[in-house]
Amino acid sequence: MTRLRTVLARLRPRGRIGVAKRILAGSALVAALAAASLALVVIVPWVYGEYGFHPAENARTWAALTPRYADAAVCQRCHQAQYAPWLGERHASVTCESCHGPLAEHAATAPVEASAGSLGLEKPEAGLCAVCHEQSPAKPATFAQVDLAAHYPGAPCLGCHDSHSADAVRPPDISHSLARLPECVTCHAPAGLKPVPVGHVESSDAVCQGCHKRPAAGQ
Amino acid sequence: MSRTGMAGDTEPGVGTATLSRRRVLQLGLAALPAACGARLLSAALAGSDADAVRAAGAETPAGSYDPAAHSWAFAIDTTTCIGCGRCVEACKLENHVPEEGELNRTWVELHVLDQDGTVHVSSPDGGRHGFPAEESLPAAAGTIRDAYFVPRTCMQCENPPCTWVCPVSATYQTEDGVVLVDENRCIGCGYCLVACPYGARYMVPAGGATPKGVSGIADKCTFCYHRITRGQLPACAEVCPVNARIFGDLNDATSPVSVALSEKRVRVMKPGLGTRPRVYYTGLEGEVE
Repeated sequence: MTRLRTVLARLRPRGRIGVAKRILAGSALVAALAAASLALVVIVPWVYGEYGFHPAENARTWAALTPRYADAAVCQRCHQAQYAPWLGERHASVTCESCHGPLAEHAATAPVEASAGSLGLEKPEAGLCAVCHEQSPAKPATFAQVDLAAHYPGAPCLGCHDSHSADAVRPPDISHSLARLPECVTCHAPAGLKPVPVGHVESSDAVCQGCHKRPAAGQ
Repeated sequence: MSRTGMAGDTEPGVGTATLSRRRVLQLGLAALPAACGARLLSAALAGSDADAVRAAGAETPAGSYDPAAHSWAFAIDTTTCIGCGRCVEACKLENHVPEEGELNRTWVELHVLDQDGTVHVSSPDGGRHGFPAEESLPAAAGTIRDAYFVPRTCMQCENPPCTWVCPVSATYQTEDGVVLVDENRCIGCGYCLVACPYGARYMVPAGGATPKGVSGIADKCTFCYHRITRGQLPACAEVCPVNARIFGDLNDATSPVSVALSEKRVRVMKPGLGTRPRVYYTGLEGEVE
């Protein structure tokens, strides 16, 4: 406290000060404040103030990141054959990248002259259909659901269903007698006499005949 | 210290004090233009970073984006969600969210209500791989009164507790209503994780990468700020196969979200907290908080 008094006493001017001097001192103070304000404008970065005390520059760096997902309209430019059956069908609300994954980079770099499908991009995995369509009490009743244990168990979804339109073709019945014949795969293995169509898996008789109806007894 | 001592010191003291005051003022006046010059110089040199960012933005539609003209919001319809988890997958890939199942910017919960009213909430890997029936519903099977999925994300509160508690102002609100984190300022204290009533934030683990490749900081949903500023949908809304995530601009009366809010009965989570979320829900049961 006494120390403060000492300092104040030192600062107190000696003798009387004229009015002119006081005005001069006041003006100097105002000028100094104005100069300091101006200096603040220059010293403080211009980005402050836009979002409170935070520099808005950061928001622009978030906006400048590169998207990885494009959108269906971009896919359409090259993949018209897949786009047409998809649009207006049951799967129309499912965008391409829902199943195919992020493709903005592919869309930006794929050569225009490449034919659709020629770049050999990874196709969605087989279990993806069930992620949406497996029966569950938590799903809305109006949504198409299947009991995986009852609906052609073991058969690949795309063996019957078109992935883009979701239309299904019933598996054909077995058109020949099964009497005295060995296992189905003897002739119908992928490399066999009459191979199974693409999308089928080599499997047991029970699986084959789970979808393909046996001919009536006696035939 | 005595009065006599003070008086004895006065004469030589005044002289030195006056001189040093003048000296200080002289130095100050000399330093001011120097400081201004340094600032201008640093603006010209380091400020070129800012120019680079603006130039990068200018190459995309984001460069002409005006945050003051938009007010973004989500209307999430729990009555159509099928729990496929495509949104979680898309968010992870779009935003380089760490692979760990419990670290998510968005996630889906399965809520199962027993006959006795008990609620079972599960979210395996944030719902990223869907909810296989036999794994998700074993305990409650047969006694289910109601079951539904609840997509979760940051509420982008208009009154966000996370920004109040941040000691370094690293998290902030943009004019269009999105709460972001400044990765250069965040010190990783985790106060915002605790303050968020919706559990919407996570800490980027060492070795994990946010879109900007920084670990040890808080990360959260940005409404895919890089997409919405280009006129695209957030990745989760883009891939949702059943349009359960309706996104848009509240300033545009014809946007899907404005239409949804005017046509559907909606509510927000934990309205009593006064956080005023920008994420609205249709078909949300009272138990969901």
